Amino acid sequence: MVTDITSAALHSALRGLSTRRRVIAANVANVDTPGYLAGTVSFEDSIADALSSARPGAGGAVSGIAPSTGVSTAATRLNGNNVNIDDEVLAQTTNELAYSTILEAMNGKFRLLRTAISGQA
Amino acid sequence: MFHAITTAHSGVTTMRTWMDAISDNIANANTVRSTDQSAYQARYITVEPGQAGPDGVGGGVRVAGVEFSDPEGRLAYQPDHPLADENGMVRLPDVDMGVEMTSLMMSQRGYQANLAVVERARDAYLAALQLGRG
Repeated sequence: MVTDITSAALHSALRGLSTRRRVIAANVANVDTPGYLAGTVSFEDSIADALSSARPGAGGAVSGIAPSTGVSTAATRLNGNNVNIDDEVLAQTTNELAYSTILEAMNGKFRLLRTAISGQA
Repeated sequence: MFHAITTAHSGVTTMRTWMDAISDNIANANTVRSTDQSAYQARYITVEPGQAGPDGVGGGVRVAGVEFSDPEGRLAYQPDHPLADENGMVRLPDVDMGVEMTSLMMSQRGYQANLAVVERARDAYLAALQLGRG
């Protein structure tokens, strides 16, 4: 059903990606703020770990995986800031692509469910 | 996922580092030192291909290190300068402005080229997402 392992993993991924989008936006906004350290978001490994140990049908294990945020260890500039605008823009590009991909996968999953419910293609 | 973008990203980062080094060199082109000190040493970055994947592609590029130019620099006769020695000589860095400006253009073009790759790769991936939509 809608609490299956696929939907749960996709949901966790969407959550992680939207958190990353927020963090990228914050980094871009603070590109020249003295002493600001760029934020980072990681969630892919947690989802992969949860997926590798989850049993089929047990979606609970991979749902609600909270993305973990950290701080970039890149070298700081003279004003103590370490945001690289090109890194952020490229991360945003990749992030949006990943978001579209996950959404597409979710659409596919829902199309399947709709077919099952209505009995029509 | 999105290896072309990751690869182009490594190029963008490298070109930016190169530009940073050039910027350092141009900024210090007129940094005067006394003759008993070493001159500002121009920074030249060295790069190497990154670790490619199992299929031999997608390694990108990375900055391997920084090389420094001759600390001897060149001596110039500036007797009015506060740092001049008893012979009126000061030490200037050995920065060739022609070389630096050419490198600047090359790094800028390289930066743009890598960004063009990102753009094309993004369009390609987006097209792939449209597959089967009819």
